[in-house]
Amino acid sequence: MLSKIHHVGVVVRDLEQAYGFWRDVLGLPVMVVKTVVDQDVTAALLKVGESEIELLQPLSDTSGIGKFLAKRGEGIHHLCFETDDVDAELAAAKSKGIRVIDEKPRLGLAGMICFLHPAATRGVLVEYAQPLDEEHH
Amino acid sequence: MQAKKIDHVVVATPDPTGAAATFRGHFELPPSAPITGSPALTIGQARIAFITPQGGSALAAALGGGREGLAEVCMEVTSLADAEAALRQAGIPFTVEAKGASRALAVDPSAAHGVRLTLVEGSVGA
Repeated sequence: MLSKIHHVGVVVRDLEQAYGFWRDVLGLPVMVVKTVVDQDVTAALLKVGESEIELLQPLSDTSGIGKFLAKRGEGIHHLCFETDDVDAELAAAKSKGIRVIDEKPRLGLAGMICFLHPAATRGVLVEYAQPLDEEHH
Repeated sequence: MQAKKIDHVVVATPDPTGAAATFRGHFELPPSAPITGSPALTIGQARIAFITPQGGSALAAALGGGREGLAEVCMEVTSLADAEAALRQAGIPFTVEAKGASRALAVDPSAAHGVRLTLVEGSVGA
């Protein structure tokens, strides 16, 4: 079951510069900052109510996020729903014939994650995330 | 300023009813009351609104070409007056817009890292 918006992913050129607006002007606290090596990205989660804003800074031009930034500039990248069972949600999506990007969940900043293909979701890149126990917040 | 929560996100689409049905079928999200006259679904304390951008609007210009996609984040703030003061103090450009019966501050996307971000005080209704 999908319980809430876990986060909205936003691609930025520079995390430190982005904090100047999202943290300092909007007042959103930074909860976690991590570099995800296999995605060539450094990401920060900033809390807003029960959800978060995920700021994504690419570390190379050739990563997925780097290509997004080069093609479309800074902006909204994806919408992530939280679930307590990402395996079941991914299986349910497949059983409905929804095109997926990840055939099985993988470890991401928000826990175990997977992405659905935006062609199946009205142009919206949708992520499912099952936070790891110690990452629930 | 203190942003309290995401009130809703906007999926821009030429077919709001169809897009809402897609999301409802895929994600089994319950409907909520319409947001500014457009269909919406509930997810936790937030909502997803499906809106056709009005011609000539900033949202239409931002999306362009009739594409569909995630186009806006609307956050609820504790005080719109405080938010307005904070934006002015920080030199963040914004416009004041009507969102249904609510007054909203629309932050210039150039200052919000390409994100069309609106700030409201209280939940946005029909």
